[in-house]
Amino acid sequence: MQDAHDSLVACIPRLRRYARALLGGRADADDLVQDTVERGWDRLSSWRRGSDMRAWLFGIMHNLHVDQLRRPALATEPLDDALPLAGADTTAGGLALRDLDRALQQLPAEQREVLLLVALEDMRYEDVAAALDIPLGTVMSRLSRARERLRLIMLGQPVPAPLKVVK
Amino acid sequence: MNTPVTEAELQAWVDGRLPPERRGAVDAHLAQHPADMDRLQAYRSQNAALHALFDPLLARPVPPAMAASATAPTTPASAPGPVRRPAWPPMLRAAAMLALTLAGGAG
Repeated sequence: MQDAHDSLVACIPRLRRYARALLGGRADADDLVQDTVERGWDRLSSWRRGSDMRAWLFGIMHNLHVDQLRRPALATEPLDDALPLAGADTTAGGLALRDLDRALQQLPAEQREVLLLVALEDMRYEDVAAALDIPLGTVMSRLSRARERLRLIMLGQPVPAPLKVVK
Repeated sequence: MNTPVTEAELQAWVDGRLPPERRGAVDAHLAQHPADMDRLQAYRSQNAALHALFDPLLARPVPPAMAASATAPTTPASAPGPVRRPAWPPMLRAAAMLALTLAGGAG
């Protein structure tokens, strides 16, 4: 049990980084991590020993996040965590990174998830497909769309109409 | 005649996940399609920028309450009432925030 505990706790920094990137600066990013750790611990018996625990936890976090998206939107708390790196950095590089953070939040959530798991978490495409429970082809097409949309946003060019209509 | 290069292979090129036997074909494609090359280089820059932006977060100390939720026994079968307790009990939240503040001040 101690081994499992240590493995799970060792995953927390990456879960927090991912949640922060996925949710932007929303104050509930750590709540999502907390819920993921709790559920992971509760369901430890369903984790296949020897398999990648991190990928399994990302799958749990994905499901919790989807549940959250289905619930009626709560008033979102404003940014409460300035990024350690870009927060105080007013150089061109620092500003560009903050632009990237904002641009990332303009992607549809399902594209952002795939992009972050691939580009930030360095997960194999097959593992992303398993974690998100989607076909490999869907991973690749979401990845392609996410990257292109992000590129256009960063260039200040018009992007294809979003999939979701707001209001 | 070579197998045509797919968009998925171009994505794999960005991530360095292209199977070795397809590298030649993709490189040849990119040599002939500079616009694709520019696009893929931009995607590689995105990867690097995402790491530059978010990697510093890995150094944040884990809040004690978060680690503690991987030690508590699983929910007792006899426990009635609400299924879910608040994710952050106020005392733990305050303690964690204090710890973070101190850690931030020290760092």
